[in-house]
Amino acid sequence: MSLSPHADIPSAGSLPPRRTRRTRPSVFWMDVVARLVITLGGIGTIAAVIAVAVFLFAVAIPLFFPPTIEAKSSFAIDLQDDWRLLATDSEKLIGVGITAKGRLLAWSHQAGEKIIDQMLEAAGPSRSLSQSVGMEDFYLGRDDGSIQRGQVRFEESFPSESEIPAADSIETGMQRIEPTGLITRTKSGKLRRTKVNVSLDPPMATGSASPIVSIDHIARKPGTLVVSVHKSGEVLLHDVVTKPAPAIVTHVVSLPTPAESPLSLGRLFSKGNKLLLTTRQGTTYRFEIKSLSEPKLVEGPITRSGRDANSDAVPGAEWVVGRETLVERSNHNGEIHASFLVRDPADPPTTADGLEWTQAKELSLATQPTTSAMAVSTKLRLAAAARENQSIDLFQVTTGQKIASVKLRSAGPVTRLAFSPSDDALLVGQPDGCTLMTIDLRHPEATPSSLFRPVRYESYDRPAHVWQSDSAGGAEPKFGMIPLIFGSIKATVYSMLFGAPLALLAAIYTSEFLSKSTKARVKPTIELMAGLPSVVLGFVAAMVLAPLVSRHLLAVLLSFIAVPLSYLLLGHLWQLLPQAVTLRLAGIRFLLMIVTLPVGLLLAQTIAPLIETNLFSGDVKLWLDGQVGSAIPGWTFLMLPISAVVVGWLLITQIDPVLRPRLNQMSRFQAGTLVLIRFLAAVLATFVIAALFASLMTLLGWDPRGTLVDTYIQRNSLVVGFVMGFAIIPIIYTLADDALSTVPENLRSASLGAGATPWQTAILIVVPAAMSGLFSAVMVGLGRAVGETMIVLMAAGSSPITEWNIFNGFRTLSANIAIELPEAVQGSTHYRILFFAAVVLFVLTSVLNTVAEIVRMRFRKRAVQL
Amino acid sequence: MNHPTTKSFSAASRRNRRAGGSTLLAAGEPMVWLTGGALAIALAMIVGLLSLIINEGVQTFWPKPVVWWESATGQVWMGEFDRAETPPPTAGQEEGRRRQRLRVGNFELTKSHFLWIDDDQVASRTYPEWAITAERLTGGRFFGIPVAFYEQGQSKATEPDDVWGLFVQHHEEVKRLRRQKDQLKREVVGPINRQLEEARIRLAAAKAKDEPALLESARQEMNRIESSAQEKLKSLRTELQVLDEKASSFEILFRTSTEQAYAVPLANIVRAYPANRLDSAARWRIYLDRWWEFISADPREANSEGGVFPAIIGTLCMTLLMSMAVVPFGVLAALYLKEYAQAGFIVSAVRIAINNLAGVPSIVFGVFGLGFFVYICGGSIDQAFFSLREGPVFGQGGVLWASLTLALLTLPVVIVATEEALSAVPNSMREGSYACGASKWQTIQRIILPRAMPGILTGLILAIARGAGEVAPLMLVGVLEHAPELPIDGSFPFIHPDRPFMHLGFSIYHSAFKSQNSEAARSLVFTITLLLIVLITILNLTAIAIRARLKKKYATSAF
Repeated sequence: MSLSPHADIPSAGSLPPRRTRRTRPSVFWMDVVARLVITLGGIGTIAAVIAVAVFLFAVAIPLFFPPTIEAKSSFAIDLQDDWRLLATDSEKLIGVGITAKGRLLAWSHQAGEKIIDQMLEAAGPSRSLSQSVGMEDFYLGRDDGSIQRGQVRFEESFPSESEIPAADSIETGMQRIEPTGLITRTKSGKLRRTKVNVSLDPPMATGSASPIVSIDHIARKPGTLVVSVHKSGEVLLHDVVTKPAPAIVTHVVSLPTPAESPLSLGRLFSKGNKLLLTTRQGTTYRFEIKSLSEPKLVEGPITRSGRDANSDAVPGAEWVVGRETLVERSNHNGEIHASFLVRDPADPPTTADGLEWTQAKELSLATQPTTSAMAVSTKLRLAAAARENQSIDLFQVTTGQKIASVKLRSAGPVTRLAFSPSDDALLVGQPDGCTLMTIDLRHPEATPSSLFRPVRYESYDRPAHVWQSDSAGGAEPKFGMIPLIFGSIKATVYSMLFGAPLALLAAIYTSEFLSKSTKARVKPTIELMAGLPSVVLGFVAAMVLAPLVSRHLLAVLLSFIAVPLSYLLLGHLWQLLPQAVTLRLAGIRFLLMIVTLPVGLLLAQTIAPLIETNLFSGDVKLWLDGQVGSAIPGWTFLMLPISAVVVGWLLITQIDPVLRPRLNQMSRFQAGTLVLIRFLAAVLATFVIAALFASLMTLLGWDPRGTLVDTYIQRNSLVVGFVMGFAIIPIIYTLADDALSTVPENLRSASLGAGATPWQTAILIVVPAAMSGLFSAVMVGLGRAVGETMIVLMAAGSSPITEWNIFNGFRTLSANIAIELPEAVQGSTHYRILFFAAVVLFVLTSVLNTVAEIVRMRFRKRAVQL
Repeated sequence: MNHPTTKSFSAASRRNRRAGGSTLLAAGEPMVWLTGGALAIALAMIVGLLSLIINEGVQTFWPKPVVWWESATGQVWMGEFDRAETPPPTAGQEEGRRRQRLRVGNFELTKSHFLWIDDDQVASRTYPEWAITAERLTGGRFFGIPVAFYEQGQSKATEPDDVWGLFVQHHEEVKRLRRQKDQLKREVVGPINRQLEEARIRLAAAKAKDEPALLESARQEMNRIESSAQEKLKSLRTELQVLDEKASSFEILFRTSTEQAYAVPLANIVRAYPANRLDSAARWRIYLDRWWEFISADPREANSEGGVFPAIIGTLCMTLLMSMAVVPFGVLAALYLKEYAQAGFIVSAVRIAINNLAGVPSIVFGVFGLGFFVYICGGSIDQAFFSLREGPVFGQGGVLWASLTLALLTLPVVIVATEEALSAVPNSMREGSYACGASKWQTIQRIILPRAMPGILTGLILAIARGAGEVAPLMLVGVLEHAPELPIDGSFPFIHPDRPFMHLGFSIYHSAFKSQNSEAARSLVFTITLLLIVLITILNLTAIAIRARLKKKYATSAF
């Protein structure tokens, strides 16, 4: 700065004339620029950090937007017939329909203009249709008892400008109708020609002249397997080959005993190996088709009421993608349900293959308006139903929930419904035309109830919480988040059980009993743990610790008892020493404590084989499997903490007041001996009480195996709890030690001066004063444990199981994200659910940290007041 | 606060002051031991873990002697002793006998790298004088006794002594040929691919413009480049063939433990040594040579052998980029919060929010990085600038996105540390500066920032320590188990922030869990772990040293 200290002093006579020095303008400018840059940069940075949360929410929230469905365009025609087939191309440009009498119609959705209107060659009246996935092949069941194969194909090509006359006149969004199709201009400016090609093969006689009321087909090498159910009640299986020449071989399916009402529905599934037949009254028979000539009845009659036996209309039943779940509707009320095979719970099973055809899900109740037509998506687990009150309902089959509903504008009864190939539209066929309704599905699989409540998935015998996002090969994606949340909780609980007490006790010792110089070396060493990458901990957990624990399982478990006990015992022995000696040895007390650890471990190692042979029938893992031994030793083990608390409480409230006056009469050594005896008796009492509890539990018939302990898996919660505890110790330790150290020194001095021992001061004065700080330390540790990824990923296996068994693995929210997000398609349901998992983690840790922060701030205030 | 306890305690002490028994219960010695025990356990765990890693990691490269085991039934094995253990008792069986794990190598013949044998199966152990350990480019280690040396298919020596002499004589040359070959490949193939890619982009651009003339010229250009590339590749192939022929003319024939003869071309041998004839100087030479290879070479055999050079570079690059991003923004935010913003409810709320973010799991930042940086930012950049390229450029995970993700993750750390450092600058200094007529920025620039520098560096240290060890978010934003190219290399523009990279931490995860031969990689993983810890420690120590110097510098000028 060039400002002179004298600049502002008024000039006196002898002084040189006043020099006015002005601050350079650049200084002002710099100041303004700096203020601007820092303010903008600062706010921007903070905003960016906070935007992380906003972005995560923004990606996850569309999960819960409801699907929408609305009428887009309609094609009007006075049909005077029923629609038999409806189809559209993937771009939703052309609609195609075939009527029951065989009239072929094609139209442009946008213009509502007819493209084709003709009677199909070889057509005849039909009343049933079987459409295959991809909607190219279809089979008609005709009224003359024959079956007829047909194809609907949409051919797309991209001609160049010169091939089309007056191509310039077709602008983007416009279209030109051609004899069998239309030309449009795509968004990128190219011309696209879409042609519709419908063919119908000559009908194939089946040997029955009775009209076919139900038909189904499935590809089964080398040809196609078709089942037809005739009005006369005949059921025929046809093996149809189209190449080189069309050929049909027909087999008759017969029931062992005649059904009480005529069969009205036949459906093939499981790669053409299984056949379902349903009578008009709803009685179902299930056949196994090993050979076509001899279908074997494996289940049935399965009686189910609810159908009108006199009605001639055929109830609809459609397969959900994968052909394992059948969605059926009633023809005289609004009932729609989904059925599939589940394992027969009866033992021995009542059916030959141990499976049971079960009506598992109620999509819509009988009280709803009667369903007049139904369609099931070929890609997603969606069903649509048209009701007699002119509304169309959309269902998600997995959850069984109605996800959308819309009212039709025109009045005629809906005779046919069909999904577009990519499930983004629904064709609604009425006698007066066909309406195209666009669907914005968003994410039908994810609803709060499908994420958090048990869902009965395909082939499950009861609703369950399952996470299985893999949907390859038409498998049902299972997005139950409870197993993952449970995994996170389990990991956190077990690691906190190990880490929190250890860290808090260590912090108390560090701040209250350790000399300054030792503390200066010890504290940084433990903080070094915080800098260890978690991938290192995970690696050591999985490659070193897991095999080690597996080999010395009982010894490891016993050391959780033996190590604390040996510390208590050594403490008792230490006070037997004369005070002069203990004072002189005070410097090496901590060294002795370090040495005690191997003593305790050795103790555990030594007694482990004894206990294993005598109490656990020689092998703990077999015992855990539930194969050998009684439940008593396991319960004893589990009851130890409770009984220790009970004994400790008795000791302090009942025994010590009696003991104390006596102790005062004794010398230090005598008193020490008595206290030692008291301790040993207490330990003995703890074990006895635990054993008593255990016997009681066993008498009541409870076994810990199956709940808290069960079959041993090498990568398990014990190992993860141990290592993750290790990872959170430094955090809790540092924060707790800071909290204890901020307790003002005068409190300690006052307490010690009033005659309290250091232990009494620590436990009765310092710890209560620092309690909120300790609490917040634990909360921060908790937050860290909830989100830990690598350790879980490496040391816990990755099975999303929901059980408390400490010897089994689990999968946490965070590990699940790490495993699955790289494979998830951007914007898909799976992707958003994983983002939702991230949001859950974010919110959870934020809440924990905020609580900790608030508590810590209050604690600071209090500490200052003290 | 047990009332009866205190009462009886005081009463008793008044009655009998001389007896020492009264204070025993109050002193709570056993409980003190319990708390001390907790500390001892925590210390033992950290020390145990570090010594385990150091012990295993340091041993990996030490050349072990080759042992010749014979069993009573006449079975013979030759190889390195790996480790011994008592197997866990399997269901229903008694405690297993002690067994040892041998590295028998010779994968083509034995079909496994390792073998377990029971201790009591071993009748004798000897150390054959001429047993050779050969590390190969492919196929792992080979153990054998040299019986012949071939040059151009002709036996030149049959005595082990002579064979070994010839091997040592020719191996250097073969290694030189291999280096030459690699260099040739790198020098020729890289530019050709770049030229082809550029021509392809020009062609695509011409196609997009839909001008026939332009398209035609681009097509011609493409054809020209393609044919010239073909020619160059052809000449390269012949050159390589010549080198290959020269290199593959030397072979060494080994006799294995099962009396099979197996010829190993010298070109396939990375390093070979007569394991049982080494003096300690030679052992140390091999040991250090292996360390050097580990640090400087590319990985081989699905990351289970060779070096981790790309992973080291990847880790360093990512950490550097992260530091470059996190420091300026962190300091700006802290300066704003501390020096410019009006203290009030909003600022303290922001402070709590930032504190919170420090506790948000790292994987959540990874999710953000993937969704925002990679898909949205990267996707838009690709659409705007690289729409002609075939694959994604910035629209996939890369070192830039990874660094930014980690910068975001560590930003709270830097902000909090910087703020604390700014608070620690006494207000008297600010006031003094203002009193001298300095502007606010001058005060910040010349008085506050220099004094806060040690604290800011502390923040950076913490950020680096956290960032360098994080793996979970990287798995989402661009780390690969084997990245073909480094993020920094000699081709323009030298730094490639769009490239996926390798990372030491991810190598640990991948080699230990995803590699086909994770058993063979085990000891290597320990070494990688050691290296990672050492690297993080070095980063930390450097920053600590800088901080100490700065502290000293400003300690003297403080008033």
